[in-house]
Formats: sequence, C-alpha cells, structure tokens
Amino acid sequence: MKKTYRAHPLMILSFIKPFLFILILPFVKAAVQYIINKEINDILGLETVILAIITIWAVARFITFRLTCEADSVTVKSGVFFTKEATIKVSQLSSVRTVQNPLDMLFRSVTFNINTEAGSKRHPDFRFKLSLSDGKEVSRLLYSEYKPSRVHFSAVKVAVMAATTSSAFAGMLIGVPIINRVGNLIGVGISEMLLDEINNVSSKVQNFFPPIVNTVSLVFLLAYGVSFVYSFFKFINFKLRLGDEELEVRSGFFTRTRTSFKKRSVNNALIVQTPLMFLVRRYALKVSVGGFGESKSESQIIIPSGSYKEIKTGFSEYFPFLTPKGSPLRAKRTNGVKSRFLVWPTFYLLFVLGISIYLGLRFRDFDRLILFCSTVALAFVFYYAFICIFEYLKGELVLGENIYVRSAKNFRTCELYCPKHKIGQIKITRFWTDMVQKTCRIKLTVCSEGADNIRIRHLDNESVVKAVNSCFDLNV
Amino acid sequence: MKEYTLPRKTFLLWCIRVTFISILVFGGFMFLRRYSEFFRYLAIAVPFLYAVILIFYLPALFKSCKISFINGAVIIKRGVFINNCHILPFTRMIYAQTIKTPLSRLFKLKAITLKAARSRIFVPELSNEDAKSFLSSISKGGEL
Repeated sequence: MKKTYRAHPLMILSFIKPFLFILILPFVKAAVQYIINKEINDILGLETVILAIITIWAVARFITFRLTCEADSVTVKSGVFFTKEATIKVSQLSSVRTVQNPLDMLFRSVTFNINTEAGSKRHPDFRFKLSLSDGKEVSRLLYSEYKPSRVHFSAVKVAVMAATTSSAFAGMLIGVPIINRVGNLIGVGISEMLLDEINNVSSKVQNFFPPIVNTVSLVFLLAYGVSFVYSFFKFINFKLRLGDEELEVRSGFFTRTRTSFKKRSVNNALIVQTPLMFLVRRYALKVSVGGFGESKSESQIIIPSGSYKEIKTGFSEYFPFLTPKGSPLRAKRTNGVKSRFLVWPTFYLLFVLGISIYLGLRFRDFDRLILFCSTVALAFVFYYAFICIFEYLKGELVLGENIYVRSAKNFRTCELYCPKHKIGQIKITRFWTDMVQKTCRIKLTVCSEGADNIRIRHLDNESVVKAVNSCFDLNV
Repeated sequence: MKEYTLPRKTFLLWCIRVTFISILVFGGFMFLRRYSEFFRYLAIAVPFLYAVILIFYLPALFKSCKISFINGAVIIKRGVFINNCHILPFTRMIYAQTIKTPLSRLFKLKAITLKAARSRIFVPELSNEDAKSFLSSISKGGEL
C-alpha cells in the first residue's frame, strides 16, 4: 500500500521561525509604529521585501514537501530549487517522535521527527508538520497501533524524578536565555531587576554566613526551581505503552511528546541513581536509542522513578532479551584494592583541608565565606568517596551475549545492559600501579553517535583479557 | 561486480558550476579592488586558476571517479592529488538520499548521498536511469 501525505500549513510558520527575532518582530514593531504615530521606519520597506521573499520561499517549501509511506519504506521529498529525496527502510528507523505544542493543538497539527542512526547529532533526520489525523495514520503505518498494555506513572513519581534529576546548572541554561530574550524584546532590563530583587531578599536574611552566600544560594535555588518546573511539565502525564515489539512513551503537559521505537532498536538500557535519588532511595530506567533526541545523550526515560525492585522488575518485563548471563568480574575484596579506590578522595580531602586552612589563616576577614566554601567542597569529596566505595563493593562486569556493567559515572551510580553486538569500543587501560598490582581499567562504549559509555576500575587484568577474548573471539 | 560510469553530461555540469563560481569570485574581487590593490591581483589570478581547473583538474577528477558494487559493498574511488576510496558495506547503510539542483534537473542528472551511522558518502551526478538502477541495487543489498 502506497500513500502520500502533504505537510500541514503550519509548517510555513516553522520555516519562518528562525527569522522571528531578526525580521518578523522588528517588522511588526515598525508596522505598529506606523499605524499609531504615522511614522515610517527607514528600513520598513527593505524588511517588507525580505519578509515577502522568505514567506514565498517558505510557502514553496511547504508545497513541495511530500511524505510517501509504503509497506516497508518511507520516502521524504523536500526542497524547492535543491530537491532532496530520501528513501528509508522502516527496519532502519531508530525512532519516531511526535511533538504537539499548544500552537499545534490549536491548529490540529503535529511535529513529526523521524530518527535514524545516520543523522547529524542532536538533530532529527527529518522534521516536518503533519495534520493530526495524518500523523496518527503515519504512526500506525510505521509502528502498529496495537498496544496490549499501558503503564501510567503518577504525578508524584514524575515530581520525584523531576526533583532528583534537576540541577541549578540546567535551570540557568533554561532560564537565562529566556530572561534575556524577553528583556530585549520588551526593552526592560529584567535580569538587572531580578538581581536587585535577589540582593534585596538575601540581605534581609541574617545568619552566620556573609550576604554573598545568601545571594548565591538564592540564585542556585531559583535556578533549581526553574529546572524542576521545566522537568516536571516536560514529563508529567508520563505513559508507557507496550507492544510485543514496540514501545511507546508519552509525556508532557503544554507540549505533548510521543516517542515510538522498536525494542530491538535499543542500544543499551541504563539504571541510574543521581545523588538526590540516593537520598530518597529511588532509581530511574533509561534506554539509549541510536540517533534519537535533541540532547547530548540519546536516552529516553522508561521508568521515571521507582525502588530498585520496581525498576528491576520493569527491566525484566520490558527488555528480557538484555538479561546478562555469565560469571561476573569484580575487583578483589582486599584492603589494598579498597585503599586504591580511596586514593583520590583522600587526596582531594587533604587538598581541600589544606587550601581551606591556608586561606583561613591568610584572609582572616573572609573566614565565614571560606568556611562555607570548604563545607560545600567537603560535601562533594565525601560523596565522591561514597561513589568510590560503591564501585569497590558493587562494581562488576559480565561479558557474554549481553554485556552488564555496574559502576559509577559523573557522580551517578549506573547499571548498563547492552547486547554484545552493540558495543562499539572496549578500551583497557593500565597505569604503572595497575602493572604492579596486575589490574586494569576497562571502558566500554556503545556503538552510536551520542551513546553511553561506562568505566570499571581495578579488575584483574588476566581475567578481563581472557573474558574479552572469549566474548568477542579476539586474541588481544 | 557492476561498475557505474559518470555520463559526459556530469562533466559539462561541473564545468558550468566552476564557470559560475569563477565569475562570482572574479566579480567579487573586482568589486573589492576599490578597497585594496591586493584584490586586483587576486582578480587577475582567477581566470588563470579557472583555466587550470577546467583544462587539467576537472578532466582528471572526472576520469578518476569510479563507482562499483562488489562483495556486498559499494566502493567509490575518486581524487586527483589525493586518492580517496570509500567502501560502504550495505549492511551498514541506513538510507540513501538523492539531490537535484536546477542545473542537474536540466541535464537529467541526480546526485546521491549514502548515509551510514557517523558517516556519509557522496556519489557524483549519475543519469536518472543509472541513479534509479543504483538505488534499486542498494535496496536489494547489492543484487544486480
């Protein structure tokens, strides 16, 4: 069966969107100025001509767009002067993602993202707008609509996930550009007003630490709040639909997102625990799908938050084909190995203490500020020590038809499950201490653009080499 | 094994493109010479460079282009000063994309981009019939 679809007219707007701030808004501003004051802007004429050309070009791109779905392939044709036509086998699709923002809801359209492993990083291979009915039909053709079971995650679980995965840094990345853009658009220094207000509020709080600590804490708290709200509304209404072969994830409040992919497209599954999740004893299950997503990683959350038992049960149910088999390789349980894991935390501890004492004695007027900074640094060092102890006690590697690694990465504890054929690189590193102790560090990288990698330390070198040789039929 | 050869029209298309670009560059330098004498010398160099490209480089590049299907892979060789040989196994290919420009449409030619994870290979303009047969061979995993 062959069926051709045309784009939704709202796609014209998405073509013009990149020129919103440099062309359309100044044009609207000039036009309003003309209507109110009867004053014509010098560049209004030029802006009108350029806007007209861009609009004609956008309309032409909209008219020439065609999506053709056949039994086993999809063809996307686009372009006015430079026509591009791509034919992709359905089996080669890694995922299909549909996004519906409030404007889409108003005009009954949907933004369709087709992802393969061949596209450029952080961008879907093909992005276009279809009408809602066409979008549903295309989804049904590509991924059968039959979904036997549906799992709904409560708002509380999503809130726990949002609270435990949000960070002040992410909040700043989201919030600062918005504040700046809005400020530029309405011609008001919002960022200055906000900083004044923060200074004002923090100066009213009296405690042991100096006012700068209050100001910085308030900025971080606000940024964390922004990140939390963004994350919460992004993942609220989280629903998981399971088929025999397919998996579909729906989420979002203002902007609704639906991601479908074949279970076999999954490169690896990851059970993670962030530092804040550790405090509430919660974990999250994520999968990495090749070419998927617009962020650095290619991961899709499958279970936003749950106890370890819940997560393990979910994993066994959704991805039984990723269950590892084989004997695990672990670091030896001796005091010598344990002390090797704790070398760096000890070094950082001594370094922080030394620097703090020196600064405290050198700059006596700033003793409270130095105390605050040292406390924060020590908290990081102790958490790092905990992570190292976790690696020592729980770290393990299983090499078989499926690969399993339990270790830590970026202050998070991780469990990675991956089929053998999806492993892209195995890196065995030995420092001089490893040579003496006959150990090694092994880093496994999954075969995809932005795929996950994980490292496990201080394993017995001979056992690792033997296991790698036998698993991948090599002779290292 | 099957080999594809580039049609003579492709060579003509490249010549037109090079001519067009040379005129643009020449015009640009002529415009800029009012700011610096240096651009005048650059403008004078453009026709010489154009002649060298048209007479020596393009024919050599055209001759060096070889496209073949062998042992479940597509092999593309090209290059004058540096010889490139791209080998893409069909199992690693994700999808193929055809590209048509107004000029290539006029000559009934099509360029093809083969996309694999983390890499892409550009196949120069083939005739519409050859491009169709090329794409159909790819979709059948190299069967002819």
